[in-house]
Amino acid sequence: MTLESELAQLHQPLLRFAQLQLRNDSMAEDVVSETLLAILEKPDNFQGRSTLRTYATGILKFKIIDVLRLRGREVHIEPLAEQSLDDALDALFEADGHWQDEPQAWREPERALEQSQFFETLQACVDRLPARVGRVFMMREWLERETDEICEELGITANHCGVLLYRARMQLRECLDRNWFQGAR
Amino acid sequence: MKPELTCKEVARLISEGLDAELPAHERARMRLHVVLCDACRNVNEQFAFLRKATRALKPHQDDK
Repeated sequence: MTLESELAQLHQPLLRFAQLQLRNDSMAEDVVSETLLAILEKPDNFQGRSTLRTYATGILKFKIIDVLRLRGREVHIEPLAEQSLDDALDALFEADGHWQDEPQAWREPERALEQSQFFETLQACVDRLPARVGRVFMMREWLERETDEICEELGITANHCGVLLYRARMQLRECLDRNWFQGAR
Repeated sequence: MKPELTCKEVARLISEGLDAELPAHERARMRLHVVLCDACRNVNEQFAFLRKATRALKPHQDDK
């Protein structure tokens, strides 16, 4: 397959990812175009080191970070009532702070990392998060940015950031448990 | 001495600990709870796994 046709296949997936992060179609198109251009300009940088997908994703991440930095405080995420987040999570616990349903162990989670189907499930779980929660989570865990950087950029308090990340992790844990690991138990 | 942490507090502290360093005493109390509580030990491992899995996540190719 030529580099062009490989990139053509990657175009939609990359675009979708950029859209999830940037929440802006034209900005997403721009970063993806820049990513493809960077690869086409210096195809030798890529050869043999990793899959094209991994390589392109790496470049795209940096482009997304650049845009987010530039955009800075222009885009505010509407403040969510922190209380309502906590309330939703309260339902997972008894009044005395014990688990309603005790989380069970996952069997051989490392093996899931070898299965593309697992990643499809994870992606579906991320897509199901409320937009703000998903965005903060992906900034933290996928773009691997520092929390204080994320809070500052989104104009939210460190505590609120922490609540959003906690909520994302709890929901994703539940979602993976239900949709992947329970079947393997 | 403060009363023991609840599972609910511990779950939040596990998450916080992934984003910032917890104060030493709080971290120790949280870890003690994790040692003694199966459910919270599972959550501790699962949050760490979630991080690892998310970092390995790539744009999917199936939605062409």
